Amino acid sequence: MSSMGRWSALSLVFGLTLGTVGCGPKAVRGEEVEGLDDQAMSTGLDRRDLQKLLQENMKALQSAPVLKRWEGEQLPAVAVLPLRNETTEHVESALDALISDIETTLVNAGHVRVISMEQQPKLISEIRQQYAGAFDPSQIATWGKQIGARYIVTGKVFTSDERQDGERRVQYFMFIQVLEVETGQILFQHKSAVTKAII
Amino acid sequence: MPGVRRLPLGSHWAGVAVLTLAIGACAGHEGRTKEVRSALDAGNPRAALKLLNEELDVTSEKQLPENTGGDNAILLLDRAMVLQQLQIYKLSSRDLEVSDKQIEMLDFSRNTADDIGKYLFSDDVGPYKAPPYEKLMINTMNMVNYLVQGDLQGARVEARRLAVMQKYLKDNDPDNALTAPGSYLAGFAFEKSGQYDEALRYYDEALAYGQYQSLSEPVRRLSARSGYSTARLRKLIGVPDGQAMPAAPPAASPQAEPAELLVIVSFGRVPAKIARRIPIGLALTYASGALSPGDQNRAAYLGAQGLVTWVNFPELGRPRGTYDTPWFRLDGKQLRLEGIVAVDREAARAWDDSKGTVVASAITRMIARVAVGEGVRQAAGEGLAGALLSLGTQATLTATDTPDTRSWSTLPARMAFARVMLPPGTRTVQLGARGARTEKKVTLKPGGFAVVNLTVLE
Repeated sequence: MSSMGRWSALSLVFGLTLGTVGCGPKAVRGEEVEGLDDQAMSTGLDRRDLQKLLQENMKALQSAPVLKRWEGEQLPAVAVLPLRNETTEHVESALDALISDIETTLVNAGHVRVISMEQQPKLISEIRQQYAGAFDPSQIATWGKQIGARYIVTGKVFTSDERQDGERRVQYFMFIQVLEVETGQILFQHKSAVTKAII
Repeated sequence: MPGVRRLPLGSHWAGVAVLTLAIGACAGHEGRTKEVRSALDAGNPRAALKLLNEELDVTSEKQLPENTGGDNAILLLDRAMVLQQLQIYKLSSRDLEVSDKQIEMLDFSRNTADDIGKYLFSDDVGPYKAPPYEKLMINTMNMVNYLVQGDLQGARVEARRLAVMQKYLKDNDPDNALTAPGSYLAGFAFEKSGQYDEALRYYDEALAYGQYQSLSEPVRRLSARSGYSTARLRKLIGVPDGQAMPAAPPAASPQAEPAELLVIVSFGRVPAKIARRIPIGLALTYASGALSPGDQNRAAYLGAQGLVTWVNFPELGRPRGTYDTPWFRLDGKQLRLEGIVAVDREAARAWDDSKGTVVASAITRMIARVAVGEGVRQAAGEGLAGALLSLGTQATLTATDTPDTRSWSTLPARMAFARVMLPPGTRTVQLGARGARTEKKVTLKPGGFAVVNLTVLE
């Protein structure tokens, strides 16, 4: 190699190393960058995951026998309680966002009267404390009676989380349940799943 | 003058030198955090927090830096521990969670440019790869944050994250699957959540590390309510194989149900990594077994020629506060704290395991530098200018070789726990270590629990 060529090669090596120092970040809107909302940023739950998890469950609910029951009951009162986080990710706020989505779906379907939990801050606080501590499922019926709901929609999210050399996979399972407050009976239950990974 | 005539060629090298210095301009991690550690040693965590905010280029601990990756992830770990010492648990949790994700991404990252940089310049050009004990302590220290806030859901998330990492390490690096404090706290979180089988499983893991007497009473209590049993759990509570577990005592009235107090004292600091220069002969001894015979011969040759006498590499400093004895008083009465883990020993062990490879890497870089210098000399000619350019290049490359001193240096050196079952009511808890103390009034509800923490990083 000529001396000039050697220097050029060495300069390239230094340049490559410097290449690790990238340009600064900039703020963008979702619609400005094609596919921005499609890209997974972490193994947490993003809007697309939540929509997928919810849509599958709500679709199953639309064809479940409990819907026929509601149709025969003249707009029974339903409350949506927070979903329990039993995962390996701190996705509580993402799950809270689902409450309004479930309420919207139920209201628009027109089979039930939805009691908004936003009007019950004290109860919501008590429910969160229960979720944080030793959760007692029989409490759900008590809460339902407290707010005058005949049915409760709630759920929980679990994960199966595994790691290997250079890879991590998190499989989320969301269970949505409809419970009758009076009896505590589960009238509907459905599971949906999404997988997130770093590979 | 030859130098003037060769200006067009020299201009390449001027560019190279500028580029090289641009990389080398960053001080090593030790340099970046030295004042932080000094502030902690002086018992001034507020000053340490301010310094860390400056280093992260933010004006308040409420802010996250623009870039949470790279070496900022380690600074966030440091800030999380200072925030824990200042009992700002929510922000400490946030910093630990952000770092946890970033450390994981760094762990998975592979980059050719980084490898070239590490080969020519310095180990700390590449992404930080946290040793196993640091990864496990992220979730452990965050469990402390959540438990102090009474947030069992958050603690359980951290416990599950810890379990994923523990499983990975058990499968790949069983000698470094430090489980004691994390498993102990995970057991506590699941016990208080009413998930007794899970709790016993975690307690069993903690007992694999040490015979913690503070677990005897909880294991006895839970074993009466759960079918989960192992030889270790039975041994701890003195129930031989084949013999039935003790029956649960008659339940107290709901209003009189005893509550539990857990106290956690984290004190001292793990040894920080510091930059050292060691003679080539000693470096070759450290690196024996980790260096190829070819590189070993080349290094020995260069040493014998007097071309290389010193090698830059990181060394472990001294831990802080390991001889201290923390104390715990409940309503004025002195009670015993049980030592749970010596994190400083885990740090020393992890360093001993990797030392040979790190020194070997430093020697390889040194050989590469001499080779680059020789290339410059040949290209520039045999005259004085060539020799000077060669020496200048080597000197520049040597200056940029900052030993990789990155580590989570604000981890406590030691952790000690105590557990007490108490009738419901208000209690005064006093904790002390390293000359610092805290006093808390806690109200224990029937069947409830409280966690009081003292973190002192002096």
